[in-house]
Amino acid sequence: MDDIPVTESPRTRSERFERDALPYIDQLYSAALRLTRNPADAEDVVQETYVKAFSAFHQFQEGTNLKAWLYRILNNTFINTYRKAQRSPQIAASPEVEDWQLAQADSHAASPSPSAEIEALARLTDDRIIDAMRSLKEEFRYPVYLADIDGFSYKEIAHILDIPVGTVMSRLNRGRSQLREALRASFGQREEDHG
Amino acid sequence: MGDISEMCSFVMERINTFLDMELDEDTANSMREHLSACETCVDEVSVWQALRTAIKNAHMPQRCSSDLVERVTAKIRATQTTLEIA
Repeated sequence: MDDIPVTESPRTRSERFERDALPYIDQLYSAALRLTRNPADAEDVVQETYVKAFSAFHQFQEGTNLKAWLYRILNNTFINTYRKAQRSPQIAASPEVEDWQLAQADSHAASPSPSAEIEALARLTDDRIIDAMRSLKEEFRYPVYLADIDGFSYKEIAHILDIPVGTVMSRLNRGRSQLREALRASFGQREEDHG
Repeated sequence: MGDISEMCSFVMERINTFLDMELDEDTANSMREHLSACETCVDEVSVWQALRTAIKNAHMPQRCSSDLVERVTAKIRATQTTLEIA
């Protein structure tokens, strides 16, 4: 089902690219903002992503996942050019959680009731949740962003981050468990605050 | 609500993969069967679901500036012109 002429003119290609790829610009910008945490840098990353994507667009297989392909370029752009220059310090994960089994075990030990936890989660401010996400190591944080915010499948996340599907699954489990633990700690703070 | 059975452990280990709809159909069906009868595991599913909702709601998509759209469009067209000349 290859209905794209091999000799597509640059003009036709740019029209096709603008029509198909540009509608993702808000999502890509939001993703870039999560990575860079700075609007000016996010704009630069998005712009560079689109230039690279257009230059490589003839290699893109129509019918495959354009959004995931763009996210992959965005992620690589951020890692290869932007972050290397920025040399931002790695933020360490909370050391107390070793893996999701620990979190799981803990959820049956000293823990709020499910209904109390659900209620507390719903009451948390966006900033609290954003901060808790940022406390995770990148390797756990990025898959959670891609799954829970952008709605990508494991296979797509594997493509975007260039890691095996099994690794996506285990990092998602750990990332979400660490996040749950981090947020539980902030429920505690709230309760103490209110004495 | 009773003791955590072997099946509960099996289900709890897979809740996130289940919610991600990434389990094979047989495993997903045995999860559903267990969940229809186990309140403890249903509660656990609800908490993980609430966590996802909280993450998503805290990260609503941002609109980029119209200026960025214009700059990106201009860049694409400039690249296209370069390709045409080449």
